[in-house]
Amino acid sequence: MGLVARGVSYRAGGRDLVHRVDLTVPPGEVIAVVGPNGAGKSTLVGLLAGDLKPHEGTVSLDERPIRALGPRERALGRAVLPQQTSLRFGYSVEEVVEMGRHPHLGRFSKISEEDRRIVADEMERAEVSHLARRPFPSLSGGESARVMLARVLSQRSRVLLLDEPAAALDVRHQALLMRVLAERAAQGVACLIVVHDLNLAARHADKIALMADGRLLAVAEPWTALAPELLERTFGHPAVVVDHPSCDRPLVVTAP
Amino acid sequence: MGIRGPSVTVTLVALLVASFLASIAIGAYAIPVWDVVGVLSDRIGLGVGGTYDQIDEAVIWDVRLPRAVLAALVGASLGIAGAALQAIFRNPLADPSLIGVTGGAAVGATFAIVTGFTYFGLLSVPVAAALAGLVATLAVYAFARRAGRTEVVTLILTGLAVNAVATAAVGMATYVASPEELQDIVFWTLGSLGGASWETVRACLPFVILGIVVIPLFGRTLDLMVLGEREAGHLGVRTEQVRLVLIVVCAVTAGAGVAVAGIIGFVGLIVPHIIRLLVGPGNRLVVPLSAVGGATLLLLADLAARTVAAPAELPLGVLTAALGGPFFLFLVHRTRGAHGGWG
Repeated sequence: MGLVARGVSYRAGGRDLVHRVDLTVPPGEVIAVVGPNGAGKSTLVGLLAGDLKPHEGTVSLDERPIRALGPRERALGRAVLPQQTSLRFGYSVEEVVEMGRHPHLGRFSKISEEDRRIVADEMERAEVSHLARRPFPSLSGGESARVMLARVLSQRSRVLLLDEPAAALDVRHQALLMRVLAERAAQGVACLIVVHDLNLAARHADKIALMADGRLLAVAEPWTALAPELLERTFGHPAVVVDHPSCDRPLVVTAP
Repeated sequence: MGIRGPSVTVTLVALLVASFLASIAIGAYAIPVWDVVGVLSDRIGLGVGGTYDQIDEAVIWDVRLPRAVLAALVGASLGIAGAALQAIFRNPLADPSLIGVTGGAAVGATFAIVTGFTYFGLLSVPVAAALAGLVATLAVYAFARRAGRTEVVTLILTGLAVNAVATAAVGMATYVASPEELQDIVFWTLGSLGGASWETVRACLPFVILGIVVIPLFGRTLDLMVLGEREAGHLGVRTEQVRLVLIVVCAVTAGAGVAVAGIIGFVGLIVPHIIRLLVGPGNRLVVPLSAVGGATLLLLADLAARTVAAPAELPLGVLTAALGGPFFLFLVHRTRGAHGGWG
């Protein structure tokens, strides 16, 4: 169950952007993918989402090959938050979040009371309710990231794939984001999130996947994955790992 | 937006009816509006009664009415195609000329004039224009497509290139044309409804109706396309398929309009912007209302073209561009003020 990649590779420009990756994102877990720039994290998200056709290997969603599913079936199974979204037309925040309900609507049916309730719920959860009437293009980077999060949450899919949703968020909203994911995981959703902040991953993820040069170097719970040797091998930069002063999680301190 | 939608719709439809009646009543030979209503209602079999003379009836039925109907059809086709294309390309600058419809149609029309192509009788020039417009659009689309995907910027750049070639071809045809042919070419490229007749109305009616029926079915899908192609795909839209269908329908619809009226700039670009200003960006309203707004705008523009310098007639395309340009500047300025512009 959940989302499973088996031996997945993707080539472009004569090299493997993703090389024989095996990764399982099971229901009930939050997996954080970390790695240096150009490691192939976004390509991996594209493969897992079914956007890209792997040159070898398969990706399956609840035991069915994702590329064989129709777009709507895929949309009901997994939601994707891409790295950045630009929207040039002045849709209101509420209209943007409502777009997340599209896979659940019939071709010509209108949005229902149930849909509206879900949209209101998810806006509340992402703390964007007060922006409901604002035109999306007038929002700040962090605000628009939260609106897109609300849109993806309102899709209510069994799998969530988030590509660097935390980059534009302040510390409070980063923690909020991770808590929301943990809450979804507790309800049986499979979550994968690409992050740059190692400590955000360390504090909140169930497992951390280290990726470098298109390969997965490790997928393990935080204490194992964030071992100093492994971190140095992944990022090519030394780091010290200590106990987090207020929780039972590792704290990564990078060397100068 | 939800509250303003219905009232704006009612207002725009009322405005369309009013400009339709006005453009029949007003002209070198003035006809009382009541007579216009009388003739029209008699002809469609619900006579309101009233008396009007035979000359009025002939002017209305044979001259003014086909021209008004054609203006409405052409305006509707440009408006609705513009709205759909701006959404598909996520680009507020998109209009039918961007994807090659106008350029291709111009080539078809001028070559038909220069080569004396008369296979389709009076409709030879429109048919050649419509076909060439469709061919140019498909060429733009085919060039911009790679590995089953179409990059929007590539598509826009391809459109630019195809338009440049079209301009060169029109220039060449103009260069070799005889004086009479030259007059026809100028007449066509400056845009005019002077050639309106029931025959031209019949020629473009089915294609305009196709667009007006099909494009609004994609209202919500177009909203998702505006969000982004990848995002739309993630939400269950068959993006490539939707885009191909809509581009072809837009090309056929706008091509039919351009074919019978020549090049009429800025209507397809500006009307969707005005509608968005009134009801917000939701395409379930913007798309159909752009047809209504385009029809109204072109009726009024043609009325002005016929009457401002009477008895002379101004070229319609020149008039729409002259008024549309500054108005578009105002819109750009206003949008910038409202939400930081288009980036």
